[in-house]
Amino acid sequence: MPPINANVTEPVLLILLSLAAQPRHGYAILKDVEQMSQGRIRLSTGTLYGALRRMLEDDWIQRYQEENTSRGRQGYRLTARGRRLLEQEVARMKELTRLAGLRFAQKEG
Amino acid sequence: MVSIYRSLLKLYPEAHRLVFAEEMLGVFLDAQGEVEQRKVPERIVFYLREIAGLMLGAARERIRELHASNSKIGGIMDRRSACRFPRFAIVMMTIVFLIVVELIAKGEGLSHYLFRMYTVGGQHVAGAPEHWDLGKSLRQWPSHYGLLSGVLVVFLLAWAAGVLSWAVAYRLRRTGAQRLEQFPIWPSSR
Repeated sequence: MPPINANVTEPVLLILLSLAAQPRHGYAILKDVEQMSQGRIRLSTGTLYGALRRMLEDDWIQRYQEENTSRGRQGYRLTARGRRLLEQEVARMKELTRLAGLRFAQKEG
Repeated sequence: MVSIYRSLLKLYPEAHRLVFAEEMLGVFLDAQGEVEQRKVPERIVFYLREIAGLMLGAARERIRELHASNSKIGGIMDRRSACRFPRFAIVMMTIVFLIVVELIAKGEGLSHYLFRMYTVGGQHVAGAPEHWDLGKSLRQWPSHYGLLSGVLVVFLLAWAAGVLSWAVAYRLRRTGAQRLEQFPIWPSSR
């Protein structure tokens, strides 16, 4: 399968990671991103929904109506394409980390 | 603050508001409920971040709407601007142009007819309305104003009619939300 050609920013990567474990609604994504980045990335609602809109359009995530909620919240979950992109990005980062380790070892040696 | 948030949401394009505005407000209220327990500086930072996020987000969505593609494949030919001049208006301009030319030709014929009614051998007939010189004006056109200015007037009339048609077509166009509903990822009924 050909790799997905996409420019994934850190907030988008964190949103994808947040949805990797389970579907979440908007506020839960905000909190999870903040927690994962240890408070370094705090998304505003404007930034979050801009990112979610783009991800919906690119078919990385799906939107669905959450049941048993007073406000009729919308939930978000990863699509197969989104999961593939996340795996691709994580693999890329692993490779980058491995290369960085090699380069540091060369310098130290 | 909620009223300010609602006002800023109006900066977003209609399509985005229809799909996300209610949900964004809900998330903002949740976040606000939590941040109200914190210290004042943290609250100020939260509100500033929200305001900046909304303004930048709205600007991004507006720009995106102007350059949005209707097709996932994309490409220059598929790109549609929100202010695209419709082909319908060009057709209307041509039709109106032809109608105006035809009307001028008829008007000129009418002016000749009226002129003959009130003149005998080039002399004005007693009792004929002297103040009414529409026939004379029409008869003299285009020689009185010149061919170039005549064509210019007709062109401007057709252009104005075309712009009017475009405004009607733009008003009746399918909204962004209706276009978005083509995609299965958007809710079909909201």
